[in-house]
Amino acid sequence: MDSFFNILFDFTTYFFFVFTVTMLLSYILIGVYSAKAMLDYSRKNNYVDYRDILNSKFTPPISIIAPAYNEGMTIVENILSLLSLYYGEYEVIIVNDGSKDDSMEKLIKYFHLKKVDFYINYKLPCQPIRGIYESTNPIYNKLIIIDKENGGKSDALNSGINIAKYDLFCAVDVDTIIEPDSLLKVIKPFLEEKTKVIATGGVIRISNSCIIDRGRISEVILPKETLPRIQTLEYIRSFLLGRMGWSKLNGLLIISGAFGLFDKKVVIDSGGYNKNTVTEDFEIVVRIRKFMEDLKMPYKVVYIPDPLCWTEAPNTFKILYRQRNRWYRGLAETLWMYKGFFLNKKYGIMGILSYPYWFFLEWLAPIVEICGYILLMFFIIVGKIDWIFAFLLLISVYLFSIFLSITSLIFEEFSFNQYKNKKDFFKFLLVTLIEPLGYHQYITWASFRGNFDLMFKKKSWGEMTRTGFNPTDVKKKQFKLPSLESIKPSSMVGYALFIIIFGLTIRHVAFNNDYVEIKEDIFNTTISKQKIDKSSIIEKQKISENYKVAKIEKKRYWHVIFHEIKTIKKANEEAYRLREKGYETTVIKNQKTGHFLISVGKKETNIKASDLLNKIAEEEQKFDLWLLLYEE
Amino acid sequence: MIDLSEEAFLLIVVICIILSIVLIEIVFVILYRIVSTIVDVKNKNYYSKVEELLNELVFDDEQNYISKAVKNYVEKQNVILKKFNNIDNTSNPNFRKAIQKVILKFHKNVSGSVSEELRKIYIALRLSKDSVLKINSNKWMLKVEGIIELTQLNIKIPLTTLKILINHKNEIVRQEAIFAVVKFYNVFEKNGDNSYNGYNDIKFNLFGYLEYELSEWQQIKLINTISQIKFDVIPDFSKWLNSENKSVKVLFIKLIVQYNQYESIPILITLLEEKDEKILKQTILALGELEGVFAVNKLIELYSVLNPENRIDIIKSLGKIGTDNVVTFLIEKFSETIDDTVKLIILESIKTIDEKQIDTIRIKHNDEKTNLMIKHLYKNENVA
Repeated sequence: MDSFFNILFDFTTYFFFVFTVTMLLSYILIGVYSAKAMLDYSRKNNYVDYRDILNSKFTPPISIIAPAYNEGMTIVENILSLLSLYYGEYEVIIVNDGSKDDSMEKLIKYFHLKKVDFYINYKLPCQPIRGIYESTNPIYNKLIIIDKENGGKSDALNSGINIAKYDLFCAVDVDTIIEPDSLLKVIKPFLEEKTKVIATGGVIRISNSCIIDRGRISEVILPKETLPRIQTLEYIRSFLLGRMGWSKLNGLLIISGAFGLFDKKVVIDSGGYNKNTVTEDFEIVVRIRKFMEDLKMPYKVVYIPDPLCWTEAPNTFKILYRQRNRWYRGLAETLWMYKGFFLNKKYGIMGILSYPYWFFLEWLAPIVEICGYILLMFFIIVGKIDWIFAFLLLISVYLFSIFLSITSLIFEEFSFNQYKNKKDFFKFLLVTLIEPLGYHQYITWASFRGNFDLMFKKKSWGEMTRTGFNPTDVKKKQFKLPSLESIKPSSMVGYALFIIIFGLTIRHVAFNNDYVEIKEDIFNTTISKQKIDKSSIIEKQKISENYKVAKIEKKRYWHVIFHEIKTIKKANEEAYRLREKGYETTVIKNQKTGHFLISVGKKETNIKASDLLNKIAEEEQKFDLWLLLYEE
Repeated sequence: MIDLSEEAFLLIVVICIILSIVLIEIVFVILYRIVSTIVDVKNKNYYSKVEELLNELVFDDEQNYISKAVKNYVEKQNVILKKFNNIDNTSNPNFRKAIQKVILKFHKNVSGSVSEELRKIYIALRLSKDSVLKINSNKWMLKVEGIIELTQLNIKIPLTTLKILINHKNEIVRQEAIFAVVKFYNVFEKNGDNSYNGYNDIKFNLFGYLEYELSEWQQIKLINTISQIKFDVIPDFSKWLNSENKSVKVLFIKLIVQYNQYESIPILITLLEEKDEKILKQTILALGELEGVFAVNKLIELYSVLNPENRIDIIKSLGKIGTDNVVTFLIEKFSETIDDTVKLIILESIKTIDEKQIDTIRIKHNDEKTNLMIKHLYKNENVA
């Protein structure tokens, strides 16, 4: 029996040692590569004036494709934002993927849409298209709306590609906030690289707590809630410390679904987006790379460190769990689909480095970590634990995780430095301390469970009653340090404990914006995009029966009458109820209290403000109504 | 005392090393932030004072005696120096950087006499010498900065300096040097040498001198730079179409289109024999843009031997050129092709040339698909 244990100890010890040493070296190497790439990029682009290509007729035109499902609350505002990007020639294709809300009605009304006789060349399969609409108003001549049967995000993107006019298309999520000059930045690699570029992507940032004005980020604020704040750190680590390095190696396997520019022909020829995966943004990059490798054509997938768009991170553990679980399933699916890459020299860097990296350090790591938990329990029971050594290992791993995080913060500090507030760095420091203690284990568990869900064929959205796009995200990953005690069986406990506690890493997956399974999520996502800019509120008054509204007649912008509701479900019901009465409503999340507000009325309404207020006050007596006077 | 194993000691050493690195990182960031804040405050102070002074010097009529009352150059220079020295010592590198930054910022937003005044102030403060020093530095970033500063302020950089930098190993240096040469020298003389025929007439065959390929990005920027030149007589860009540098050929094809040089069509037609994909594509598109009627037969002839992408370009170009035999050809190809994308482009081209011929197609192919395609053609009219 003893000899069996000894063999088991030896085997596991060596396994963990090799595994952790590989991880450590990989992260250090990628970090070094990233640093070099970041430095080169910032030096090179320090002198770029993007205005030069803005109005040139030789700048390639771009088709923007944005799938939308039940985005009625914000769709008009989001499209207006897309239509006002700084770029010469581009078209905006919005794919209404069988929304069940009033998205289509809103679009038709606002943009004066008319159905057109559009011949569609179905180069990629997609669900039936009910109609294609264009605006009768010439100022919206860049806009095309596809109204189609529900088929999922991949299907919606494929339908968009089928009607896209230009050779390059940009896949975006309609609910992300896109930087105005993002197209100019993302097109640059296509114009300057000597090797054919087939896709480019850039940094996605977290918009929680940021102030949004007319569909643009007007002030960058570090998320006030802990979960989004931790994810902000994850994003920085993943994008700046990881992806730049992979891009430099030309081994990048993912471009975030929130914003990515692709060569349309390559995507079509490789078969388009796969409808049978939950992480289509990962799969498409692997697919087009495989296509180019098979043709033996030189190519590049380029990543730029400029922030291109902002998206909302989950602020509850429940949603976070589902996201990470889904990403993991998507990762496993895609890795399985392209298993032929594994250590296959034919696929160059992708086969030798990228794929094994994703296999061992992204897919296998959570499993190894969970095994570590189990082994720890086992060794505690059999009394084989070397507590001193295990404790030292824990400390070293914990410190190393902090080291990685702080290094990525230094990258951020010297590159884009989005969080300039003096206190932000210290807030980040706190996050680096707490992230490995609990948060990481939760993510690992979510990822681990993803394997089971995949085995039992669980689809995150089940039947096709999907709704809206999920927020954002980042796939989590683990990291383990090697131990010096690699031979002594007792050190096994150290490894196990070490693996349990440690988990920080550079995250690489940022599968963005899939459909979500529960209706609540959609609202949670879209709602919190609307934020109240405190600085613009000049007065808040409670409305009562005898309330004098004369004051607001003098204001050009009076904006909101609301009542606070504790649950999103209730808020949603109330919003619909008010909308049926003919009011324009928006559900807003109060970031401070976490409650939901319903904004009624709109800017510059033709109705006399006092009349509308009195009417609402009269009709909605059961609520405490408040008036916010806004300045814009 | 706890009896620690050798391995545990080693681990403690590792912990100490990591901890030290972490602490160093934290201290580094904190110090960096403190220093940055101090520097920012100081710079802001400089910026506001320099902006104020520059406003006085270049915008305020009463104060603007630099170009009026003070005629003598040296005296003028002293006056300017004195004024800036009142803020801080102009030999202070940080202050000089601040002045430089503000002048360049101002210069970007003004033109005419004000721009000229800023240029004079820049020279008077010997900031141009700083820029020259940068160009002569070993660091490529400084070289780039120096070239950009002088080019923006219209301070001529000697051709001998630029000639070395045109083929520099760093592409950004090359790029900025090329822009500078185009801006300051007459580069549109095919056989130009360095002969000096007048103050602004140094001829230099830049595009024959290039050893590297120009990226598309650089081409677009170059076309922009060239577009800003006020030519007495627009150069004949076709002279560079026999360049050995492929990217130069592409650049000049684009310039021919930009300047509508119809007389270059015969030379462009000869380029249809090119094997290089980029040159061929650009030539086909250019012939369409310039409506090169004489190229029609050659384009039709090439259609069958080229790849599908080139074929689409040919159809688009033929649509723009639009002669009778083109319509016949396009109708024929409409029947032959099975690719719906190509069919749609053919229809669009036919519609551009002779809308009535769409009916010919409708009658000839009386099927649902063709009818749908034809409806697609008129979708915009229906929308409007």
